[in-house]
This record gives sequence, C-alpha cells and structure tokens, in this order.
Amino acid sequence: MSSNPCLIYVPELLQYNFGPQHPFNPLRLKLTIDLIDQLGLLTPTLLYPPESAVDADLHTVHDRHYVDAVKKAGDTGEAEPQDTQYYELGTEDNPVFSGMHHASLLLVGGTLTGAKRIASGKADHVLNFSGGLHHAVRAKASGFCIYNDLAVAISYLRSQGMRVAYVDIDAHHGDGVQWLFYDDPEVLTISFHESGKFLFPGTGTVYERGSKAGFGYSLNIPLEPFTQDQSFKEVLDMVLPVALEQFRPDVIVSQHGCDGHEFDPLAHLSFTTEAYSYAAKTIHQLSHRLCDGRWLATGGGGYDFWRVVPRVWTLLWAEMIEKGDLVDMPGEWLKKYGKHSPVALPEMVSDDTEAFSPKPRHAEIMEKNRLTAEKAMNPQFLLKGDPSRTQLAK
Amino acid sequence: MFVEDIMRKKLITIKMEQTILHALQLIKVNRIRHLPVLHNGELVGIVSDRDLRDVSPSVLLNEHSFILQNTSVKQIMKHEVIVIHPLDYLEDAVKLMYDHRIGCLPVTRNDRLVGIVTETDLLRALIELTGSTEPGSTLEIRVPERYGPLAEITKIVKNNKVSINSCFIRPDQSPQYRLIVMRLKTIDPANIIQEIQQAGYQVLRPLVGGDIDE
Ligand SMILES: [Zn+2]
Ligand SMILES: [Zn+2]
Repeated sequence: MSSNPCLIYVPELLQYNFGPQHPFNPLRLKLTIDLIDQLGLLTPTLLYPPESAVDADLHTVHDRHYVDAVKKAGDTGEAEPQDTQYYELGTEDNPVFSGMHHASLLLVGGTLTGAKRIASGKADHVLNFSGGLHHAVRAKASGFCIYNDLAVAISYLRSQGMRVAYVDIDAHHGDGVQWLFYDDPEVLTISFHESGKFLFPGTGTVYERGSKAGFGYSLNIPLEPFTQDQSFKEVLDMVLPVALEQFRPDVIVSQHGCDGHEFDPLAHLSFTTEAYSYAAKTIHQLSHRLCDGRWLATGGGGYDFWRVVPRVWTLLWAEMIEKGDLVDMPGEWLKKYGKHSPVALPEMVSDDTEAFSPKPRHAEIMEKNRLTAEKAMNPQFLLKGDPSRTQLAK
Repeated sequence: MFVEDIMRKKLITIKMEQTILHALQLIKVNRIRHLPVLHNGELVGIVSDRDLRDVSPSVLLNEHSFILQNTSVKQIMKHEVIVIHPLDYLEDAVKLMYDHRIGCLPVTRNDRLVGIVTETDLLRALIELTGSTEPGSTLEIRVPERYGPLAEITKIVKNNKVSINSCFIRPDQSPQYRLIVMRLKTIDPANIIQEIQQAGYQVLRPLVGGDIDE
C-alpha cells in the first residue's frame, strides 16, 4: 500500500476555544500533536498548514444570515437574543467567543484543504484533528459545532464530481452531515453511535435512511449504551465493507470522535482504544481497496482529553502512515502533562483490553447490536434511491 | 394541541354519485386509506380502502370492471360518520379513534368538511410532543408523588441556562412515584444530572457505569 499522507495542523487552530469551563477544550489538540511529535511521527514533510476557508465555501452548506450572525457575534463578543433563539449561538453548548468566525473558518479550511489536496491528487490520506464538527446544520450551531467542516469538504468533493462515502464513529449521531446530504444519492452517510434514546442529539435510528433520490443513502447503526469493543467490531464488519463495496465511493471521509471510550464523561459507550484502532484500520484498508487510497479523516468529539483523545488520535495517525508498532507513552510527554492532569495518565499508547471487564448484560447488548446492524443492512432498504421507495417508510 | 393544529387540510374527497372504480383510483394515486363522501358540499359519508376491497369482485372474474364502473359510492359508503371539531383537543381525537376502533376522523365546522385526522397525524403529533424533532439529551427522573419536584428540577435546568425541548410526567409502577421525562437542549447534561441527584431525586436514565439492574 503505497501512500502519500498528510497531517493538517498549525497552532492557530487552538483558537477554536469556548473558554476554560467548556468541555470542548483545545488542549485536546495540543496534547495530541505533542504526543505525535514526541513519538517521532511528526515528520515536517508530512505536515501541511490549512488554508483558511472563505465565506463562499461556507455558503455551499450554510445559510448566509447564519454566517453573518456568527461573524457579528464574534466581533462584538456576544449574541443578539434572536441569534440565540434562531441560531443557537450564545447558549451554554455553543457560547460566543471573540473571533469565533475566523477561528471556525480556519478549522473548516483545514478539512477543505485536505479535500482539495485529495481531489487534485497531491495527497491520498489527509488527517485534520481539529475538524469533525458533525452537528452543525444549515442555519444552526449545535453540540459545540459552529460550522460543519465535513459538509463543506464533502460539498467541495461533490463539486469535483466525486461520490463520497462518509463514515462517522463518534459516540453521537452524525446528524448535521446526514441532514445536509439526506436527499443526495452521491453521498452515502454511515453513522455508528450510541442510541439517541437518551443521548444527544436523539436522532440516528435505523429508520432514517435518506429521502427522495437519496433514499437508501443514509445508514445508521445506533448502539446500546455500554457497548464494548467486541460488539462494535462485529457490527462494523457487518456493515462497513458491504455498504462501501456496494456504493463504490471515489473518496472516503471519516469522523473519528472518540467520546465512545469507557472514560468519556459525555456518552455511555464502553470502548477502549482497540475499537478505534480497528475502525481506523478497516477504513484505511477499504480506502485502498475501493478508491485508490483517497481518505480524508478528521477528529470529532472526545472529552477525556488527558487520557483518551491524544492516544486514540495518535493511533489513527500511526495507522495512516503505517507505523503500527507503538507501545510506551514517551516519558517526556508524561512528565510534561502528568503534573497538570487531574487523573493518572496511561503509560501505554494502547489500552490493555483485559483491564476492562465485561459489562453486565454484555451478551444481550451484543445480540441487540447485531440485530440493529442486520436491520440496517436489510437488502430491502440498502442503497436504493428510487423516490417511490420512500413510501416503504410509512 | 388542537385538532386544527394536527389535521390535514389538503383534502381528497369524492361525490356520492361517483363510481367505486373512481374511488379506488383516488385511494391508490394519493396513497390514502379513507375518502370523505360529499353531497352538495356537505359531508354525507365515508368510504375506506377496506369497504372498497370488500365490494370489489375478484380480479379473475370477467364482470370485474363492470361492477366497479356501475356501482356508486353512495351504495357502499358508511352513513354514520364520527366527526370532530377543529377546536377539540388531540386527546379527544385519540380517545374517539381508540374507543370506536377507527382509523380516521373527518373534521367538520357547521357540517362543512375542513380537514381530516388519521392515525398517521396522531403519530406525528406524538413525535412532536416527545420533542424528538430537535437535538437534545433525554433524562428520566423518578420523583415522589407530591407537589414541588418538577419545579425544583426545572429550576436546576434554568440555573444551568439550558432550555427544555419537551417534558412529560407519567405514572411510575409504584403509586408513590411519578416519572419525569425531559428532553434538554444540550449535548452535556452531566452538571444538571448531578444537581438533580444532589436534590435527592433518582435519575434513572441515562445510566452511568453500566449497572443496568436498578
Ligand atoms: Zn494507506
Ligand atoms: Zn460526540
């Protein structure tokens, strides 16, 4: 597998910052980049700075008035009451911060730069840890996401005539990306997430399958709370290769939120780093098998930024550049951050899966997830796109 | 919710002298199951897909289309129609349809048909009532059956500056308790959950730690 990977990063990306009390802490990026660096995986030739996006890029998926409201809020430092009401700006989840429009533009630019490098053949694999803001929709911020970098990038890839498979393994449903391409049969969205019965945003049932010509081109695999690695891997294997082989994408865009880890404070899945490494490897292999290695990956959620995010994302980068033999965490990194971390930092890059005991009812959880995947993959529904088929949903 | 908020206003109707062949076509083309029957603009009856199927001869018989073309809707329609008023409540519609085991209620004002409510509309209303059309996190809280808990809990939500998508209270298995199901417009309800627990209430869902047997 010859490949030409690149990592999108500049320190200015840390400016996407909702403040010290907010769970979406830019430290997650810093800790990750430092870890990659100290493991010797940050070769300067692989590093590529993002080009900031421009308003016209945003307008391919976002409403102009919404973009204007974000700009204004970022300039004045506060949201007008109607902007909070209509656009969800200035809420506890999506607080206004100074310069938020520009910080968000750079972040969107990161993912878009990746898309452009892939479309022009300059790179095959691109990774942007700062991207992955999958909740933002056309005219609303949602769940820490101001602009939907993934949708802007997908929209660009579409404009280059490419068929896009979007794979989302964040613990939360990839709702924003799904709704933005719900009618489009050239974009297949697949989301693995904790069931929305209690977890935000609440959507992502197997019955959401796309609409109109896009019917069949949205796949959802809602997992039971406390799902563990074994079940996740099984379900991933049941769904991903089959769906992607049928769809025949020109490029894979993937979101690697790691808030499904056992330690994550927001969601209730029970993965270890093993689930994430396995998903990264599967997606990587499929990209080579199906679309000449064209693979654009982003970060996403992940709120245990001391213990989980840096390791999971380092393993993702290692997979991308085929350095799969990481063992110990670098001493310097542990020393540097150990004194700031409120929790003991793991000493191995990968979790010892033996140390995570089976959850109560794990057999039942596995069975339920298997049934969910079977339902999602029911050939009656898989990849259709005939408008009259939407009636089946009734 | 008033009936007028949930009823469908785009109406497909038939006149009583029209043929059942025509009725069958209307039902097929519009993918509906009920046709209100009008005479001089007034509602005089209703036919369902079942009524139509019951009188349709087997497709294998020769007289098939003869009967369909020569039987009028008037001959097979139900004359006794249970109707509802636009200012009735959602609960009235649900109760009527449930008690009479019917799938559809024409909505009339002064004997004029102004809308129709079907099972599908009730299900859509249910989706809206549970607030699941907007992104949010759901909590299920068990509270004692007395005055006060809801106010205390909503105050906690308010102090955390989070808005509520929907909220309903339903009986618990044990009569001393009620269940509050609340959808909050936030991705991160951890703080709110903690404060609700500190106030002495039991948060049943989301579970933490995986100990599913309560
Ligand atoms: Zn490769
Ligand atoms: Zn997430």
